[in-house]
Amino acid sequence: MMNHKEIDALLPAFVLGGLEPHERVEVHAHLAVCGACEKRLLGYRGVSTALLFSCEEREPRPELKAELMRRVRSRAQPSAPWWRAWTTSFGPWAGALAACAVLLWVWVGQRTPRAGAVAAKGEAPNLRLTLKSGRITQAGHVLQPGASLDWGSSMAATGGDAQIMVEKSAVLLLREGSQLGLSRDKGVFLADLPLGTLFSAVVPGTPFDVQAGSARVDAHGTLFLVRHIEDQKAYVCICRGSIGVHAPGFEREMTSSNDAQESGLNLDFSGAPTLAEDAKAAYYTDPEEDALKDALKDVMAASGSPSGGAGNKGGDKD
Amino acid sequence: MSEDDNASLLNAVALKRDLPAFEGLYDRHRRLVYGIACRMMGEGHEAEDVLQEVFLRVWERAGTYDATRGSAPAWLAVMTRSRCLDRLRQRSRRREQAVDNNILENNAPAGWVGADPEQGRILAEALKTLPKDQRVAVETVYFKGLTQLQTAQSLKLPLGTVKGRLRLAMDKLALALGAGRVQ
Repeated sequence: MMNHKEIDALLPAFVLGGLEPHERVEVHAHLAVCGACEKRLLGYRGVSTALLFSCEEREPRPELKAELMRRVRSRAQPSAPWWRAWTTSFGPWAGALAACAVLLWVWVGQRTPRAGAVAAKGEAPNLRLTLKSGRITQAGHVLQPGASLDWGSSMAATGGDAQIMVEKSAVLLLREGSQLGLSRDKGVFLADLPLGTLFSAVVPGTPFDVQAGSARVDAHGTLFLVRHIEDQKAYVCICRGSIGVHAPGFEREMTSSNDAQESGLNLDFSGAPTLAEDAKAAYYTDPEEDALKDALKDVMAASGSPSGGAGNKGGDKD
Repeated sequence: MSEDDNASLLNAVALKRDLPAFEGLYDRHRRLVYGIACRMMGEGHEAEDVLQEVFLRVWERAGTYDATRGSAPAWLAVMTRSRCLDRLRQRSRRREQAVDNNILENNAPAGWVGADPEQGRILAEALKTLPKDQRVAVETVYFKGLTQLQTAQSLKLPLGTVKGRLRLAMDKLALALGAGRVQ
């Protein structure tokens, strides 16, 4: 563990993106507890962005504009309903998404084998999921048990103990005590996890990446510690904020914290508990489809096992 | 051009899928984006690809721009660097770096608030006043996406020397921007 002086010496390179992974881990951990370093970082980060403006402006070839506009016009067609866009976009991942829905079912302790079996085929017209606990947050309103929430014709939900109905391959990912965010556009789905949530504890031994395979997982105003990186999986501890998951197929782009606002979704962390030191999450993996399929087989098998879900609520703490 | 105009154009793109507004954004900022792309990727197809990628992202995600977090040019500039780093990482297979870049981009209050083209001009001047060795260290890390260890190896210098140069350079640049060092 580095001391304050050692971390301070790393801040310039940290801001510039010039640290080794283990150094970044140390800096992130230190920043979570050191106001002085956080302030210094703010000063440096102004430099970081301003450096970009120091680049000499260049004029691109005029033909590039015509090409860009052609591509944009092709994207400007009326879009399908959000859930259809999901299913289309997630085509190859439909099984994965359905699998996750099954997992959730198991997770919250309200398994319905028939629904899970249909979902496994990726053709389920509806899955009925029941929240036993936790809250649903949308548009800045934390819904308490009994409150109603309308997500449109394809989805209806109520908070607390009420039900969520999902059509097609929407994915809900939540744990007992967690919040849930679900966007309606562009296939983005978010899982908002409070402090210390064990993201990897869906099924013992199954990393989080089974949720979306080659998806990138991004931080949304999040402060988290990378506990270690092993076999291209980073194990992180969520300190603050949420983590959003992006499935492939939509521009291969990251989600920023603003995406939550865009999708009418605000996340509330006011009730976040203190940092659980032993929390961890696997959130990055090699985007190999074959590997995903193999992982999904395991997940599907595990979801059909009584030991795969509800029995794991405590997570697999170190 | 005013920042209000930028925000209006982005709004029009986000809410109305307004092609003329999008074209206006491209006309305003193409030189900035392409300049950064050329700086990081070198002139050629990759820089042009980044230009297209960034503006396609603008088309798809104009609604994610939050004026309270910084100017539209800053948003575009950070986005451009992020796309460039993605490509540089693909070159070098430094996948783990993605984690940290995501943090830098998405923890945006620290990432790009307050930065604007005027500050860029100030910084460009400040960069010119830096000793060459310090400037090279900063530019190698920031624009080539190398770690300070890789930079030391690349420049055939001791790691401590690179660290020292980065520290001195960043302190001077922060001072030039008025941020100064936190004591």
